[in-house]
Amino acid sequence: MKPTIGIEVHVELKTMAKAFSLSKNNFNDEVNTNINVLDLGYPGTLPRLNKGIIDFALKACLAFNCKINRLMHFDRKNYFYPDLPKGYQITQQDTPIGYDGYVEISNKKIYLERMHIEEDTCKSIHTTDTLLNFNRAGVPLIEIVTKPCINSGQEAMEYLEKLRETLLYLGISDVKIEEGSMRCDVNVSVSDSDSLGTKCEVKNIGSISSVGLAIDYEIKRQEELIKKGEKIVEQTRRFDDKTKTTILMRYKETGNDYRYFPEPDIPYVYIDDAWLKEISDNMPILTDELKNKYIELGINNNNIKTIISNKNICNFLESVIDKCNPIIASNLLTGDVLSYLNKNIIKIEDTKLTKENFIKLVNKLDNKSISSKQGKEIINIILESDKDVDLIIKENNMEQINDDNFVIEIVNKVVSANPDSIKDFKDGKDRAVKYLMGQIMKESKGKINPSLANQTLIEILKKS
Amino acid sequence: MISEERVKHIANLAKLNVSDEEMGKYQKQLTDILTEIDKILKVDIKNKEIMISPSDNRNCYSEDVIESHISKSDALKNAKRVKGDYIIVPKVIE
Amino acid sequence: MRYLDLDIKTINEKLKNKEIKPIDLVNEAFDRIEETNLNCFITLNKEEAIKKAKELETKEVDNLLFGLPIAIKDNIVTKDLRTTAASHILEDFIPIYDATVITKIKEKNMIIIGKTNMDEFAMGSTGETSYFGNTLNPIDKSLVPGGSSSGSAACVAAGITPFSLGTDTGGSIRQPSSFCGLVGLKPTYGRVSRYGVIAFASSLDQVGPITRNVYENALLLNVISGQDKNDLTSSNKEVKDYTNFLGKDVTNLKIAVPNYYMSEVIDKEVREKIINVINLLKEKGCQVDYVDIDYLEYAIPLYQVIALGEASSNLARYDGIRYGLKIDDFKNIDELYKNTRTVGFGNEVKRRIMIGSYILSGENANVYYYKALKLRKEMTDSFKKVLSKYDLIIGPTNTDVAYKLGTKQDDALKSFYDDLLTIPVNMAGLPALSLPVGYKNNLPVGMHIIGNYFEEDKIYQLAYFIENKLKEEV
Repeated sequence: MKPTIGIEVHVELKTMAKAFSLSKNNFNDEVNTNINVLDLGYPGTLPRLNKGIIDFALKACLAFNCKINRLMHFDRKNYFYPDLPKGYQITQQDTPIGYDGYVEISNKKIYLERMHIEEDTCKSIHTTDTLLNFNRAGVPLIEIVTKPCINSGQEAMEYLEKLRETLLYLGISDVKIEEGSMRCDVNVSVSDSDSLGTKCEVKNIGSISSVGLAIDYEIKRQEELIKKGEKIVEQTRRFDDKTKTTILMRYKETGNDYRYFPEPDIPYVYIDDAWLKEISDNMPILTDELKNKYIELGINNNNIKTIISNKNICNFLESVIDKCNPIIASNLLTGDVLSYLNKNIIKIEDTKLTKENFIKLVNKLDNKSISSKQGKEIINIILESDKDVDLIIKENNMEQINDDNFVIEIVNKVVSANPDSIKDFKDGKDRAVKYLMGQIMKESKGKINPSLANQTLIEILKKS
Repeated sequence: MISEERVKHIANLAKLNVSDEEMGKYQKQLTDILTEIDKILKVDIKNKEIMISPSDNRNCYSEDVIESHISKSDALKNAKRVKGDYIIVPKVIE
Repeated sequence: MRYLDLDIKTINEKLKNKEIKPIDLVNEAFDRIEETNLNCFITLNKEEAIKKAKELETKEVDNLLFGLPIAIKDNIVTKDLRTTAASHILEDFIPIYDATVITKIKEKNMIIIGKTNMDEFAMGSTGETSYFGNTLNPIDKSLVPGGSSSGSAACVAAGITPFSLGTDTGGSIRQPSSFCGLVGLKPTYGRVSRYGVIAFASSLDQVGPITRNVYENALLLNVISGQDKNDLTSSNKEVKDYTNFLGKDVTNLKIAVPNYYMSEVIDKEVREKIINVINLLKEKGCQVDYVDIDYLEYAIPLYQVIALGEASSNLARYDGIRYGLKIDDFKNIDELYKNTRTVGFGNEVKRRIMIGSYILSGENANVYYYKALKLRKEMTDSFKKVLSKYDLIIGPTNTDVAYKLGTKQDDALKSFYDDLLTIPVNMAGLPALSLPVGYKNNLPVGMHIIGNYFEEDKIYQLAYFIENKLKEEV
């Protein structure tokens, strides 16, 4: 039996102002303050159009390889619900800004049917009454709809991760599924023939991993029904986090009758070549490109994964990557820096770390003028103060000994003080080298370059 | 004459009640208008272009900047059911 | 002595030389409201108007409209002044902002006397669908004044104010102007901002001036026109000084008369009045030709689909939640919606939004609505073709003159057929004016002058010529 899944994702765009009104786009502010007469659907009000939402949506179109409807209009989707102040939602039905796109995941392309711009509804809070917060009314959304071409929960999760990651790197949304700035509805059907089966919709799933679970559960549920010879009924379900199952919400009303028609209050928008070029010229580097670049630079896969999933760290790395060893830089960032940030629950911008200091530190480690242990100490200092790395090294007398003559001098001194160890070395006892190295480090107060000392020691022992 | 059921369906779309007493009147009036409207179905139009508005404006947008807000008291001024800073409605059960 | 009966230039002179004060005009207006008793206002702005008139006493008379009383149709929102659209559902609605046209007339220091009666949500052509009772025609109180801008027309015709603002979706300025013997203009779609105008049909609605004569009409259009960032469909085309075109020679104007506008559907005596004018124009040397404009016969069903479709959506916001009628009888949200709207809307409105919802539902949207949008394009192209060869199109404004109150009130189609000749103009978005050109049984007959997009100047030019020519004849 073959499962087929389509996904609809709503993403809130983080423009300054709302989509069709120019009040502030932030619904977390004090209740019912980021509103104007348009958001309340007052008589006589007419929509505005925020160019920012088109710019943002175009970025997403380009990132997801969509064709673009150059001449587009908006439509009204009419239905009655208290969270919908005008009694209609401004959306795009006839001319979605983007269509026929795709998102690449590891083993296939997920094809996109369409991407369109629309406005969000009020936030409802259900107590004994339903309370309406209009701060969210009119917040810009893009809806991204896949073709029914996903075949498992795993693929769905991979697609959503990729979508989330890309939108984050585009800088057009916070894409926080937990806070509702990304919302997922999935349509699942199972068929034992070539034609598609009857689909069930699972709405508003709270996390990407839950999407995977919800889909896998739905597939199993529908397969069992089919095996039993029962008919699948088209319905809307929700995912229950506790039981990890889907639960029937309500039978889908036959023909949700939205009475779409073209919005006469907003004139056509024509996206010309110049507009499109401006957007494409200003596209940030996206994650696929970054990943390939990091692989070529020799950064290991674990580090790449960590960097990509931490956009701020990635931005920092990008700002220094041409000026120092990328492998050492990525090790520092994904190791000591990230654990410091996680421990203190702050972002890299909130620390005292400067690009200049970081580059200096990486270069010191790269030319081995300090040890990795010292590197650890220094990074923790420069996360908390903007003191110059050179000064820190000087003050703490951390400069590594790399001078050949000086190294030979110390090694000779230690070797001649330990004649028994020469004998042990000749007898093939490994511990002799370890012991002597310990003595050498002690003698140099830890400042000697260990690999240089080791090399020198073995040469001297062999000659002895 | 359109059926009572159809009238009820239409009224429901527009979120209106139609009482039994008014039913006959609505049946007749809606039938009259819908019969009139059916005339346009007979027109043969070769043109595929639609006209949404007489306006030939294009690309009328604003830059992404915030304009002024209304005060909370103005927002709640005309609302009939208010609780704290919220406008309220009977509980909408999900 | 009635100062308000004088022409605007004379009143302005008297204000300038302090012979009269704005308060004198305001008092006259309110006195006349009581004397005439036409029910042409829903809400009076007496206290504010007096306050404003007093304030103006210390200000310089800096424009022709300074200190003059104006009446505003009650579907144009006025901050802190009740605005009902003549509906029970907005009976206590106090707007928190001014419509753009209100801001503009306030900038000229005009004084708002009150909000005029109208058909509920501008749906009707007699003034009789108002929740606040019908308006009377000052020419004969047993007659309808026309609608939907019934109060705005009655008020000017009765001499209460020299100016009023109406709105026109299918003829709602021109038809009552014609029935009351006034000059009423529906400007080009986009000439005047719709921001703050309670929407009936967004792609057809337009605000316009209703006045006693052509000059004063042009004067008011000067003030209310212009692009508005709050109405994306408003045009950035230059606003001319429309009074500059009055008195210009009309000899070279090429004029078309659509055959349909002079056909049997029009009353014979009305046609005769129009022919009388056509003869005057020919004598003057104008080229006047009879032409065909395609699809005019589909105007009514076309209007029903587009206007009512849009209206069903525009009126969805009236649910009693954020503003409007409060009802207490409901058990759940669906009942709140249905009971509020059933009690709050009158029959004409209910009928129209039911039709509108229906023609947009399911497959009907494709069958009716999109078909209508294509037909609209065709009809508009047909107008454009004629206007590429002619400067203006003329004909009667209405099929007949004002009729008795209460006639055919239960006829669901009647109110549409009153707008047979005016609707096509809204469909195309063209400007058009109604001008009184004579009488049938002592009732005024209106002539319709339709211009090309944003050529209100030519309309006024011709209207002014005819207005004066007819005066000479009398």
